Amino acid sequence: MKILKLADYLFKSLIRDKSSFFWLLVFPVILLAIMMIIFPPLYETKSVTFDLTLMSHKGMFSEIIERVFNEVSKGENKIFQLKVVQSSEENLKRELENLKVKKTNLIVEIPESFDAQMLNWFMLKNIGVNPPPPSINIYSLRHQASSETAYIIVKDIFQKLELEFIKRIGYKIEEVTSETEIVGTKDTFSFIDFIYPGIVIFVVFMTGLFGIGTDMAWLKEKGIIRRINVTTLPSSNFIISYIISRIYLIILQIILVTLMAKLIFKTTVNPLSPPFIGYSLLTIVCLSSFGFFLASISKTTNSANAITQVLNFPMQFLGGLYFPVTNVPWAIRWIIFINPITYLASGIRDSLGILKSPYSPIITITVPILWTVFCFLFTIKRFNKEEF
Amino acid sequence: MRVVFSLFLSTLKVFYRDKMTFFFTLIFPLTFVIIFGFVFGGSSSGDNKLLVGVLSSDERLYSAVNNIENLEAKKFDSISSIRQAILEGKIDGGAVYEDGKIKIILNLTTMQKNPFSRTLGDTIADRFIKSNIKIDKVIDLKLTSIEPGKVSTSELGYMIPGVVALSIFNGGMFSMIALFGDYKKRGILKRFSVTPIEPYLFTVGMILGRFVVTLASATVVLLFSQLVFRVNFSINWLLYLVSASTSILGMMALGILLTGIFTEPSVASEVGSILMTTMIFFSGIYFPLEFLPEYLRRFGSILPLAYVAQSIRISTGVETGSAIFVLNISLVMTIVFFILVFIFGNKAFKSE
Repeated sequence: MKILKLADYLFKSLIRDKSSFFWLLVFPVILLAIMMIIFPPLYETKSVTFDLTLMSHKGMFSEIIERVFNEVSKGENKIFQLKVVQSSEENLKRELENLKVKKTNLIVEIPESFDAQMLNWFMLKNIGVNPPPPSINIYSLRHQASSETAYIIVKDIFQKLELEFIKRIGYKIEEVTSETEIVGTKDTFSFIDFIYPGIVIFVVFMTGLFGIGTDMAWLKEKGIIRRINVTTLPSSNFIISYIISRIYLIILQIILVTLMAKLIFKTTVNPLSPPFIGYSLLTIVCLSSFGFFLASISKTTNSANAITQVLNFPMQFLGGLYFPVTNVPWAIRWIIFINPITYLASGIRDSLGILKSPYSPIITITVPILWTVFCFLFTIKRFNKEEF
Repeated sequence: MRVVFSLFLSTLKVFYRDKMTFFFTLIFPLTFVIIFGFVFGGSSSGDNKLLVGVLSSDERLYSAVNNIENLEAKKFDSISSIRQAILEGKIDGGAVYEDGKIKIILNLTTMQKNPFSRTLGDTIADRFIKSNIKIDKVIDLKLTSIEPGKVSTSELGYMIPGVVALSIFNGGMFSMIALFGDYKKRGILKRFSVTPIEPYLFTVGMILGRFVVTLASATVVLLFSQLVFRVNFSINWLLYLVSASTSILGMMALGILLTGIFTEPSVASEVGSILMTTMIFFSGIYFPLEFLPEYLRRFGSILPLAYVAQSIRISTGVETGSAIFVLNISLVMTIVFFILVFIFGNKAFKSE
């Protein structure tokens, strides 16, 4: 009973601290919301309209192209905000300036000789000669996602247009369709299903680093553990209460994130499924022990803070919480390999069928267990020496 | 002058001893540079060929894939070996032809790194169909990628000025929270107020010290990325120094404002951290804002970090913009700084 009472007190005192309350409980929910605002539009750009400048002139083929672009630039779900201008050097110069200052996303320039070249191409093709294809110039702006995406759409339109032209001159076209599979994922990739387990690992990691690592270092620095040692309360009871209080916190964190993911973003991941619960428990044990390990190697709160800050972002990003990290040079790959988050994130996603893991299930379970054993043994040895 | 210089020197020492400020001003941006440098360093869209696995038995698909610019085909014995190679990151994708259908297999990283990969299916199917009728192309689309700045740089090169801006933001804002919030709370200002040192000399000395370390840290981040990742910049040093210096003053003004609003330094520091997180996501330094809803794009456009990043991009030559724009931003930052430092600097000492 005393253990639970103390755990209750430690939990309440942690969440009464405004900073801990915000960063450990509110921030993960905000982070999930921000991720869901920023990332899904990068995969689905259906509702975006791109500014396209078409530089055209009179001519049969040019007018067909212009008509096609006009068609896709109409209505509520139009792809382009189309601006048609006469092809000329002066206009091109002006439009390139507009492209540079992002007033337009893409320029499609049909050269004056295009129609003549197209006629020539069809005539020569009919008599069995292979003429060089007529060209159309496209100008995009580097480092601008909207410009690159607009180019991809324009390229797709031209591919379909080319097949139409080929059919009209009498070629028989075989029907070939295409489908894309993102390796190891469900039939339709859903960003919320991908990110939700990542955020669950993130909240446990935050508790491990800041709720345990720096907090325990503070208790050590202030001599609170030493003082508990001289009371009638056994230090082992204090540690058990401390661990239980953090488990309360983690359960609350996971519930909040899950409610957000389920109710607002409609994830299909079942948080009560055995693989999810299993990997979540492994995450809690592994990353909590990591927190104790950090506390044991830090002499002061300040140094614990510095160590956690240094580890925080590399472990999150290179653990693949937000995007899978593959194909990186060896200079950084070793961090991925020794990082327990790599295996926890891969394992939980693989077990839920969200994204196939490059590591076998045995590895995704064994490596975090090894980390847990190492961290606990190291912490016990260190604390025995210093505090208990 | 000697007083200012002594305070300046002590601020330099404190900066390197204060692990948190040192971390957020120098280590944090450098960590970002290293992570993004290694993870995204090689991906400047359009520069690298995508490696696509095809079955060794399918010669037609193999040559169709090899005929597409930006793609290179690699032969595999089975679909499962293609899948495994994709999972391990050895190839970027796979293509398999079966019963009138081309199946494209991709991994998520390829999709994130290369927007072109999203239409890989249509592109390969198109070339595959045409290979049967011996027509390669009817229309040759000649793509010219215009550089937004004076210099041709990679994705990483375009991102680095944003990281420098983040370093300026952190260094400027958090240093003022420490000076006007933390120092006040710990009674350091009170102790100085009973010394013969004029308050303005104290303020100038401390601000100067923080200003120099922030400017030096930002420049170290810039030069480090240039040296280690061979990022191409065309730095206009005069414009860079003007924009970076005034941006530091502007971000210091933000820190001063926070300590004015939130008298408890820990609250001001937390609010600063929230601002930092918001700006990392919505000021367009790491993630494109073009696909966000209009209201979020408008929100992003009022964030000071977006303007600091744009000024640094212009002065490092990775984005086109007039010097007038940079100077206007600089002027605004400087004016806001002097107004706030005058109001809150006086207030901080008077209240002690």
